[in-house]
Amino acid sequence: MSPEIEVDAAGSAPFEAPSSGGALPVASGSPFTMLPGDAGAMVCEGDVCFVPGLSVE
Amino acid sequence: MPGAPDAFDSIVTSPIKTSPIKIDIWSDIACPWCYIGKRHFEEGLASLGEDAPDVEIEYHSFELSPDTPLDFEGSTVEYLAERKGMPVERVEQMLDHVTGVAAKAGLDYHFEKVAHTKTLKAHELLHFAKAHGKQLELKERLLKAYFVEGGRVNRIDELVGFAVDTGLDADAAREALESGRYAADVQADIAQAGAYGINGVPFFVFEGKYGVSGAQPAEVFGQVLTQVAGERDGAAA
Repeated sequence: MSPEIEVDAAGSAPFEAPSSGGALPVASGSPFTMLPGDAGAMVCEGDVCFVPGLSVE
Repeated sequence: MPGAPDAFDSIVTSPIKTSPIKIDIWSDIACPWCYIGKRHFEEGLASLGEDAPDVEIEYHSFELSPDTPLDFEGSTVEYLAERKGMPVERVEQMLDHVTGVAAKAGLDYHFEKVAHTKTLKAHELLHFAKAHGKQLELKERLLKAYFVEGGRVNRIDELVGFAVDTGLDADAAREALESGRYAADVQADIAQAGAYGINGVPFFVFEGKYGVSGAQPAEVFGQVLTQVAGERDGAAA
């Protein structure tokens, strides 16, 4: 199970570049062309879920 | 061969068809945003109506928290508060928020029922289901079991029941789980995610080319599908 740590969704329009600090949650060297979409979309990593690029508690 | 259709004739007379768009999705069962993202994706696809491209979806295994105990007997709040050292009130606020977002996606989350456990056996069953053409049905069944019903997705007896719910054979499912036949496939998926640099889920890959991370809104998925279909059709023209 994963909680969300940061719930302040950015609410940006689809395909907008991520807001400041909105690093894509994929390591460099990815074979994929990343489509940023909504920078506020939540992902889960380990025990936590968060908005990529925003600080976690 | 007598009576068999001529291969050349079939090519000439059949309407031109494009192959479905391949979508690979890395996801875990114990991942609230994976279920929400699944719904959003489905909504995005449906929103395209008659313009919706054919898609072929394949789920891949991802284990978010390998150190999850096999059977945690406490509540979700206790689980998260203990593991993250967060105040109970804060955990409750977060769960309320996720429950609200899930409700907007048409999902009736019940965190008070969630039984925290390892998900590897459930992933093995998903590979078994894929081999029998039922992976999508089972993925939905397992997510519902976990977040809505409080199902134990690590116990073979319960997993067999979920398999049967989707039309899979009980004995074959049990044999697959008890033998661990698909355990290596699960680990291969997890290793592939690592090789791709996928750190979080849900993670969507379109046509092996475009990556989309997170539980994106339905309109994003609709736009991605339109874009990918347009590129494919343009290349085919």
